[in-house]
Amino acid sequence: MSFLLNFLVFFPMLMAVVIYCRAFKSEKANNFIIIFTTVAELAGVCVLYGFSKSEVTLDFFCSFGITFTFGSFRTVMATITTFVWLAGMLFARDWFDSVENNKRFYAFALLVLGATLGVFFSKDFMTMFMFFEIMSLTSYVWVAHAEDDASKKAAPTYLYIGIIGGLSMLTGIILLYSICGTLDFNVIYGSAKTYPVRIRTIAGICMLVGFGAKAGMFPLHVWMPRSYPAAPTPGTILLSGVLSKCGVFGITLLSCWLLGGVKVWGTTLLVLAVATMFFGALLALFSTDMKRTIACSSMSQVGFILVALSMLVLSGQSNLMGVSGTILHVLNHSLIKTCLFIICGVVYMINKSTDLNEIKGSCRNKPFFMICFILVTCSIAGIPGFSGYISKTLMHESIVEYIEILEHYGRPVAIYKFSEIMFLVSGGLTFAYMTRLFYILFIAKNEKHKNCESALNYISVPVGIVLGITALSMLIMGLTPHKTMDSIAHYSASFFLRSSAYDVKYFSTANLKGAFISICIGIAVLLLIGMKFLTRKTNDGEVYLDRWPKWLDIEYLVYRPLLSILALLGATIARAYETLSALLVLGPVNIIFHNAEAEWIPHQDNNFNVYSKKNKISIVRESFSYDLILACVGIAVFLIFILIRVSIIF
Amino acid sequence: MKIFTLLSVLFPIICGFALLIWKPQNRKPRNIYSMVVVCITSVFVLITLFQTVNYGSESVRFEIYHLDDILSLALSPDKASVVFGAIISILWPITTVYAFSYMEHEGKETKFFTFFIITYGVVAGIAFSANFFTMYLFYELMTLATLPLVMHSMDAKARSAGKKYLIYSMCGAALIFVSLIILILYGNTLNFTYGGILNTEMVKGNETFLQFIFIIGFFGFGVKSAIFPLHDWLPSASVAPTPVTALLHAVAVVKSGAFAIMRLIYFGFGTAILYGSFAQSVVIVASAITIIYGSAMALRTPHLKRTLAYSTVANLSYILLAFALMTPDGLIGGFMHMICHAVIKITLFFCAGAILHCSELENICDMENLHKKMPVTCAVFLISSLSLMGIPPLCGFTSKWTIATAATALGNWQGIVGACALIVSAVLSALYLIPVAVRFYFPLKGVKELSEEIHEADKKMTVPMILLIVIMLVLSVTGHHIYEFLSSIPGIGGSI
Repeated sequence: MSFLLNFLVFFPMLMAVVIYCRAFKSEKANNFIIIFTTVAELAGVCVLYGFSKSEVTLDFFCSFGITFTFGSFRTVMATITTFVWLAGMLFARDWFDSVENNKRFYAFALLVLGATLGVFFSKDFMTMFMFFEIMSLTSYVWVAHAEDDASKKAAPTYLYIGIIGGLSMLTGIILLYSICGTLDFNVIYGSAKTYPVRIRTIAGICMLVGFGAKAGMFPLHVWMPRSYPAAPTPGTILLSGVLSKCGVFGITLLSCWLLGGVKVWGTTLLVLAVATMFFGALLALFSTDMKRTIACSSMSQVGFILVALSMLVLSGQSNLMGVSGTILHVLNHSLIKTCLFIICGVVYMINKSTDLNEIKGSCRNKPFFMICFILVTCSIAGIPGFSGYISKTLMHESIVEYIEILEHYGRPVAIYKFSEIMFLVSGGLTFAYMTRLFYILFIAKNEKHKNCESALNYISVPVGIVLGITALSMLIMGLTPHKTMDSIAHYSASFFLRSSAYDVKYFSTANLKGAFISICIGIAVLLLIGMKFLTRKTNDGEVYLDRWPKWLDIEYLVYRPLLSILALLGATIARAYETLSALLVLGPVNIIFHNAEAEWIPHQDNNFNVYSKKNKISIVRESFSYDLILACVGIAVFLIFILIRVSIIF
Repeated sequence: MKIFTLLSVLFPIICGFALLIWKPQNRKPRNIYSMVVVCITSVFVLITLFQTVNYGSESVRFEIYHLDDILSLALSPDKASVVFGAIISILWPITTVYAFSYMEHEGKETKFFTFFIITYGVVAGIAFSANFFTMYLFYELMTLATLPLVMHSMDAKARSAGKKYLIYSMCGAALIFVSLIILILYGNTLNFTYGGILNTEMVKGNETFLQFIFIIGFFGFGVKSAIFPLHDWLPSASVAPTPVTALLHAVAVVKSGAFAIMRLIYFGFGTAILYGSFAQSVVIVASAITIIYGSAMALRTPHLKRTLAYSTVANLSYILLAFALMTPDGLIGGFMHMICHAVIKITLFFCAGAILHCSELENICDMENLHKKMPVTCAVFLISSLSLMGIPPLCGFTSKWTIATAATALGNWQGIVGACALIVSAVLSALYLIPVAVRFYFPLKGVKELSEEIHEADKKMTVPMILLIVIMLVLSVTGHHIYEFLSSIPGIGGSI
């Protein structure tokens, strides 16, 4: 068992080195290695289902040792990871011309795969932090890979937010270690209640910065709308499908294992989650670029997941639907985004752009795409009968249930009512931007694409199969929720330290009503904002306008000015220090030698004289170095004398 | 075999002078001679260390000159010396190989190797000395022996740097002298004893005075390890040839300062009268300020070697901070960082030197897309900067973690200040190292053709770098062995 876990984490890293060093000359061999590695990983993860929970320790590592474990949610996440990776790698073959030119991308993709699995399998914070950092730094290469203007702008932001997040996480871990004396999840969970809540919360919030940055949580989301479009599409699939889930995984861990039932934590998380959910959807609606729309949608969907998580924290042990909602939406979102980014990538390959005005109507005669896109859209918008509806219903129910509990005890519920409304509104916005995207891609007319042929050669067969299966699974899972989705949720629930025994009638009127309200809001938004405010009709068809104010960008409005002010402040203080120290030491010296007529004389290279009253030609006898040598000779003579005198030498 | 203790100090000093007399005209005999001397010395040092570990400190004690019961010149390596001795005995030969190739373009190689070899003996003397008197002697000898190396190129910049170095060192020596005299007056002996050498009866009533004297001594030795406000010589000294900046100004000289401070705290004044006093607060705050100051200055400096020098200023204060915690964990953390930082920083300097040597580039903003021409150097730089930033599982992380947890374990505001300084500095070090490494691989200004003259460094430079990376990786993996060894230093195992 220990072999399999180590294999899963370290094998792709090894293969990354093989690819990067060009161990095999032929492109076919390299191609084979890449696909073989991902398939082997997927198979390896599937084997894990057959074993009972156990753990592995490698204690020679880095003086702390690393520990792995698997089971429940971890295994499910690992399965999603490897599956999305397979899809991403298959699509990468279409996207890049050849392995040889892009070995950097492939090598780092495999490296990140190992690190990501390491994060999901980790059993203590140290292991988790280690792999999280590796993942964070190596995935930078994807964002910077294109080396064009967009990636040059996006990559530093990605890197710095990752680094600052990572170090903030380290602060939290050190704090946690100082109160707990251990970093093992199980031990911390067992004794968490005995540690002061205040320090636990501070440690948790420090770590939240790290995890939240990776998940794209407001206000650390700034890298997301920039980096996703900048990365090559196969990289974006992985960033959105898996890496953002690493952040969610970490936040889940904190919420359930360290800070379960802590009110401050739950409220903080809820506020941030609602902001992420709503602003993400809003950004997606206003975006004029397909890839950016989907990127912002990622942010919004992470917000949905975090809302369910915060409900989990607030309601303590009772909230069971939140557990399933979280698990299933993580699963759904990964699959949905894989499909959407594949489609987006193909659209880019057809048009060499993802700008909405460029791509409109470009998929009019591609029925396969249309079907896939419809399935995915229905799922993400939460249309009854699709998998997204199930997870969204569960998350919605978890809010409603909590409100009911609070009302029962007569506590204020305004903030939760508000969250519920925002939940429905964001759901509506999701419907609106996805439908708008659908309209633009498949219905809008464009002279340019009138004569396109409808052959299936725009997509390679393996990618088409993956796309088709994934899209179809949305419908299948959505139609048989009790058999498929509930069992996945039950299997994963033990990670959340709760059972997930509940009985929800997904297709009851109360639940359908929520979806109905959401869709109604969506249609209203689409008609009022999407069709009127963001679209202008001209003679050449429709033009999609960028109505988002340019100055409204947190990165350029807040972070960068803040950083430069801090840097300026630091530099000023540092310079002041420097002057002070120079005054302290060199000041008195200058006073003493105020009247001295000394000068520094450059001299022949063979002598190293420093200080002389006059400029002389030969200076060996009078030079400082000569004195120095004499002093050293004296000491040497002294030592030799002692050597001779002392009798205990031999 | 006590003779090896003496030989590891005396042999390189004598052989160094012999080189000055011999003045070989050709490169080859000189290089062979230097290499042989350095290797033999390393063997002597390692044999001594081996004996120390296996047979204890007494088996290698060598008394050179016995003046009276207090003043005597004696060498007696203990386990703390083993750490420092091992660092220098491994890094010195590697640097020598690097210097062969590098010094070809600096010139004046005879002079360089003379003092380079002499310094080896002197630093070994600091590591092995048995009492404060011997250590003070070698400590001052080190100032003199390294001065010609700092001023090697003899242009205006180098001379000014040398002058600065000398003045700062003399200031430090004066402060050290004061504290040594007081130690003699209030102590039983000058021999290093874990727990302190002060006479408990005489100390009574004079605690505040002695704590004040300790602060003076701390800043006196702190000159060499570049504690604020006495750090200024170190960035200036980066004009010296790279082997000097790498070995002396990142390892030997500056670590001697930290090592001496360790002796002063744990083996001189003793933690008993210092722990929890105002003196401890002063030194912790001073270290914390230096850490942040050094990192901030490194961030604002465009010149690569100076950036690294400022980074050294910050990292040395990590070590001082750890020692100033005055707990066994702090001592272990300090030694861990001493080892890790030595290996990492020397590698970074080697890379900077290789770039300077092969492409004549000094400023960070010009080093765009260098990996096309210098793949090995760039890869080495990347790995070692990740290590210095403290990215797990590389070794810089282990030491930083040990120090940070030791600081928080202190449980008072000083500990929090120290830990916060570490975290802020970690962020800053990421900010000043990552842009350099990123520039190598992802040019920011846009791809432009590099000049034809840029080429990869030759084997004499790349092999030491790769060797150091291997050592770094071994250190990363064997972190807990080092931790265990350090825990076995006498006195650490128990309480304070």
